Amino acid sequence: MSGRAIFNKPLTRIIPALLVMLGLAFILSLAVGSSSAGLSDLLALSGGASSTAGGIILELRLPRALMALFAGIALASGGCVYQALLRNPLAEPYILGVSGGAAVGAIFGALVGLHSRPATVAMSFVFAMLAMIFVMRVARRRNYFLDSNILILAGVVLNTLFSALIVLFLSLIRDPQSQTVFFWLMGDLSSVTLAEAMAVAFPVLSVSAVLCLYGFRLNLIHLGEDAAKQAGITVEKDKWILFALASLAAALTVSFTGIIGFVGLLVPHAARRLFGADNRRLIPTAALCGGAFLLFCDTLARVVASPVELPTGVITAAFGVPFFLILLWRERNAP
Amino acid sequence: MRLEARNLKFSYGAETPIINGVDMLLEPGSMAALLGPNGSGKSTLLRLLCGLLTPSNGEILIDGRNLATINARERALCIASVFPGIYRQAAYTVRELAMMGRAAHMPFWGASSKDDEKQVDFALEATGMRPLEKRLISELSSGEMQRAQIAMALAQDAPIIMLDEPTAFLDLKHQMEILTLLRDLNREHGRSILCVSHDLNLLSKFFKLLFIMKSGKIHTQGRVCDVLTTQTMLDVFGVEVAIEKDNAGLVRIDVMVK
Repeated sequence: MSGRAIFNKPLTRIIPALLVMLGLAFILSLAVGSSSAGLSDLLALSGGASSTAGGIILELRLPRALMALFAGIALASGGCVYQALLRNPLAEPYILGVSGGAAVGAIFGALVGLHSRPATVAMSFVFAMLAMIFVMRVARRRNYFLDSNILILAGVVLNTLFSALIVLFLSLIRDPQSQTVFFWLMGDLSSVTLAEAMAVAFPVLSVSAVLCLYGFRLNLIHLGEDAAKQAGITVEKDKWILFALASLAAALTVSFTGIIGFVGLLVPHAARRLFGADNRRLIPTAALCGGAFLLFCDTLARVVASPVELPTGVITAAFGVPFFLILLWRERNAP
Repeated sequence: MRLEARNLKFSYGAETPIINGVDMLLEPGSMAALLGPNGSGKSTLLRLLCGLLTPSNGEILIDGRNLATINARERALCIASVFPGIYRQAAYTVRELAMMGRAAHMPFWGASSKDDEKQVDFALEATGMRPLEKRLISELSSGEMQRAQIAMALAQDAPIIMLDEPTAFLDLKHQMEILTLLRDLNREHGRSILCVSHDLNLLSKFFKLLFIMKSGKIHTQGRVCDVLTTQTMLDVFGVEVAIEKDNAGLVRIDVMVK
């Protein structure tokens, strides 16, 4: 998993390049879809003209693209944090069961009559944290190192439980208005409204920004708790803040998009390889790459089986699962 | 800085105490080693003294201030420590590692100033790690990793540096390198050094002050040539040794094999 960074340029050079990439992914996502609305319509729209195609872009594709962008940012920055805190290259909100917990929380909230968005996110967050704490407790060995294998196994078992609970709760709700099992289990951006996309923008961007600021402290905690503590870091406090923020990022996205897996695994690994392991660099770069990656996956989800639109999680899994297996293979052969 | 421990006790939960009433004094500029058989509590005492563990009884005073009442950042400005157990798979470079030692000097988000860079340059230079600064810590040998960690502690710029068996698993040449480095840090840069170690012969050549522990207590303390006696070795380690002392105060210890 280690290796020297390919791009050693300072962040002031890398970030603008990533923003350009993100912009292109965003434009692509607006210009491509199962309907015929394309780049020319997008250009006409930016010129102020209104048309049916323009309507499709504004009402269907724009909210979706924005949500993909924010969810990608949240999941990727969260993934960086989990991998460093747990010292486990396979850690990721989906694999750990945190995303599953968030989904169960959101549905459970609906089941007990909590329908407002903040309440849903809050329930989602509480369950995500519970899942996190459970997995950590199970994997904790006598010293404060976590057993990698047990950590992942506990996540697998939790995910099975959560899938069952999702199906159970949804069949209890029986509300035709509520999201489908598909939505929750595979992640779907098709039903997102502009209002929802705008509602997550501020919380997601602020959580990610705070995580960026914690990058240096995260480096130290990643290195070892003794080393971090002796260097003057308040390890226990910072760890909980970081776990809470990463879980909040997952809860924010999951309660709007369902469970989209592997973004938090794939993107941080790629970014680490490209820009280095220093979390001060990694979190912001991974966040931007995450946004671009999810935009790209969502675009694919809309066009590969056109006119059928696939759940976005299918595409991220198609990339993520082989990647996970490669990492697992390398872990197995690690000294 | 002057470090003083008074009636220090420590136990994990209700178990029998690991540290059972330690009093010790480390004057500024000391070059001291902590010695004792396995399980005598050396590492635990070191962890208490540098604030990684909180004593269940007694207090540690640093220039008269209670270590328990000062915050993590201030403590890091007084004491730097080197412990095993760094996660080597983390893909940080040697320079990034040394820079992490500057945490207590940096703002929250870890932006390095010119001063931080200068101190890291100095630490890498002093430990001979400058040529390897771009290496990943996962690629270092044990000896290089030990030096990299000492560079991190040195970058921290604390007057006291504590080390837990910095020469463990190293061959003789690398042991000499590390101990010479520690001696230079003490002599030329005025750092107090407190080091847990096992090799009696090497210790006696590099350290001036010895604390010998047995069952959670300081059994004997004092200057190397006064403390290392056949009687102490028999009492603490239960081995018979022959000790030669020359005029320069150097001590040579030989184990008697029957």
